[in-house]
Amino acid sequence: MGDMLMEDAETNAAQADAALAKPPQANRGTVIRPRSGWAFINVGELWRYRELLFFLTWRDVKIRYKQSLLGITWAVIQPTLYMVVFTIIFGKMAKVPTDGIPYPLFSFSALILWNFYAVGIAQAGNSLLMSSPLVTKVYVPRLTIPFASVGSALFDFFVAFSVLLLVMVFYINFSSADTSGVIVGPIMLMVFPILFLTILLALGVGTMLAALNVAYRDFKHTIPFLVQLWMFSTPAIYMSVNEPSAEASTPSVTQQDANAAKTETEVKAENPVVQNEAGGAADAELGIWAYVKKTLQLNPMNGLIASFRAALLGHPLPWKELGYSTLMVILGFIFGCMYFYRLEPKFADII
Amino acid sequence: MAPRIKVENISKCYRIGQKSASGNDPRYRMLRDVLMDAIKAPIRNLRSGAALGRVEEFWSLSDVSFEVNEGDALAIVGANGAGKSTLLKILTQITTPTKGHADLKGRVGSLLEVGTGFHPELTGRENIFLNGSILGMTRSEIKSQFDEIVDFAGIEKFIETPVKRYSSGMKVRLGFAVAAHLDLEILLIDEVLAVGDAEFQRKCLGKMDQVAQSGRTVLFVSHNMAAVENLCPRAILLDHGRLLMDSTSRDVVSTYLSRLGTTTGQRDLTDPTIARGGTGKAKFEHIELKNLAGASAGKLGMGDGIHFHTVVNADQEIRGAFINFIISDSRGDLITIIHGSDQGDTTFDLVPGKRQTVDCRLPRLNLHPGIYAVSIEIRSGYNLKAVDHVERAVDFEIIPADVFGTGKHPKKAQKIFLESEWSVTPV
Repeated sequence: MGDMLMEDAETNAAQADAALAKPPQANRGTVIRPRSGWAFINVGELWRYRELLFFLTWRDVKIRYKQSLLGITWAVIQPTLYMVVFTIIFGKMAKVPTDGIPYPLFSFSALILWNFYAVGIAQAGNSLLMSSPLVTKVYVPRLTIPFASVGSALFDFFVAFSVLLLVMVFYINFSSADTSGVIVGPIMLMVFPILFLTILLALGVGTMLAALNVAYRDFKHTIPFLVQLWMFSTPAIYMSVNEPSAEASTPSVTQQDANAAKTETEVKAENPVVQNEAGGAADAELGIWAYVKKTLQLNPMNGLIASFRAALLGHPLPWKELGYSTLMVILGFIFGCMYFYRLEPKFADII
Repeated sequence: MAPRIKVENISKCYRIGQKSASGNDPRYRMLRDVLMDAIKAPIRNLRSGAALGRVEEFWSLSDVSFEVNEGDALAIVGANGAGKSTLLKILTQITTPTKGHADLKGRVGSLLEVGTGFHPELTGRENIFLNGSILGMTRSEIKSQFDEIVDFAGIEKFIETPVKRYSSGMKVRLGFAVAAHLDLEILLIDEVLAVGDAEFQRKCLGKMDQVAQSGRTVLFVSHNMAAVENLCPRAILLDHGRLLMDSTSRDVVSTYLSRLGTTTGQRDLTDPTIARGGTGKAKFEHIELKNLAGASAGKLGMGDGIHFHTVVNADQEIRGAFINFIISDSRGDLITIIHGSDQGDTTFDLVPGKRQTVDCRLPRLNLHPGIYAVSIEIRSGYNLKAVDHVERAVDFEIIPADVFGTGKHPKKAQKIFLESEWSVTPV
């Protein structure tokens, strides 16, 4: 509706132009000046080019599925295979804590969000180099190019998401004494703001990678590595990162794990990994875990994935982590776009 | 009336010659280099002190100012490297100026390349929408002109075929058709007309003319002097980044052509700024055009003979070398090649450090009035590779003459004329 109004206004202006043969739309002008330093997004310009953003996204989606044998199922296969592997390794062999959620559901709900993020930033990172004519031969707001890459990853996300919904139906009445499946409730609506935050983060990180990729020719080799590393720094994907003490719903599983860890640590107690004045080996172990956890909190994806899963399954949200991630997402988005804008004037000269 | 385009003191500087740690071109910086530079910097600072950070600057444009009013069509003329494309890239916002500013009033459309953003896997229909939106058209604008675009490109039958199955000509036609239907107040056009077959070129020129007449503001960069004079009443001449002249396109074109050394009919080719190709083992030093009486002449009458005189100097021995004279018209279209090895044994050996002159006479040049360019090249008889090549080494002008002895001139818009014998016999 808004679009139609805008277009109508434009055609009206064009007709008025033709009728009066006078310069209309003086506000539509362009002022060209040297640019340097830090700036932020030109929202008005992005809005004018919203159709281009749509077409570029549509192009990416279309091309990806046009000549592939498996077509749209690609979007589902990748997280599904990860889920199978994770279920075997982490669920069956390592028996990591999952807050009592069945492992396939636990990992799949995280993996589709992670997959969106990983594909989004990797595609966005390579997007400018892939469409260099759009940079050197015509002017479009360059931000639309990495944004469209994230947009096409979002399309994949929704395909996988619909499969996840089917899986969830299977787990709806699954809750029992020590397991919990899907609990339908209004908290589920939190999925959308959390998804929105993930999109913002993917946009911020993706644009920054895209700019770095143009500025430094060997940067593209680091992107797959970076994505891989980031996944391992996001333990929320494959295990519960809740503190054992805060584990009210499923004390049995985590308590066992903690005990096992305790005895293991007691054996190598003389190894002073962390100075702990209390001297207890179990405390030392918890100290390390707390330290690791604090470090991993710098990674906003942990909080986003844990919250996404909790909201999706109707479980209580880890509000503290989510709040922290929100802050990091906003900072990441602003910094990513500002960095992109800083390098943008040089793109056409160096790409 | 306020000008539609107002350009004030635009300058653009590129940095060249700056080497990074690994000696790579600075345009292609590597993260590796940045890290290495950071490590090496303190050591290098100690060693070389002041020599550090010496960056060579190259001003692609300096202090260019002009204005264009609504409905005007302005041509930008200049030799290669004069800064034409840089100027267009600044006005389209592709790159930013180092100094100065420009104000453009109205929506700006640019056409620096035909079919930007075309994707081979997408169909013609899909690419029209994609390309149109890249050029700044709204979806409803594209929809309303869709049939016209398809019709103009002449690809109705293939509209649902992926563009990768199109011939290169079809791709170009489709790209131009989309661009030609851009309905914006300001159009910036680079030399995209030199594409497609002759018929399509004429169609493009017609469309361009229509655009220029329709009250839109057009900036047009071209080497095609005929198109410049045809489409734009006014032109500016750029030379090494400076604005040399701002006048009627007729004056600008003639100044431009005379600066190329046209009318004198001779040119010193030892000037190091002349762009040349080939291996460089031998070089042209001089070219002179003469009439058959032996006088130097940049202007010849229709049907006159012409005498090419060149001086060649070799650095290395080249056996069986020969020279080609390539004649093209002012649009850059090839007319003919006077081939040094096809027409009799005209090959010769080049000896290092020894100058030689090569002369070639044409008894009769059947060209129409107009300006023609002669490009010259030396090729090696051994592998036929170009040893030296000078594009548009010299120009000459053909002036009208009563070639048929009837007092009638052949009509315009032709390139060559042929004598003919007629007979009419009743049967």
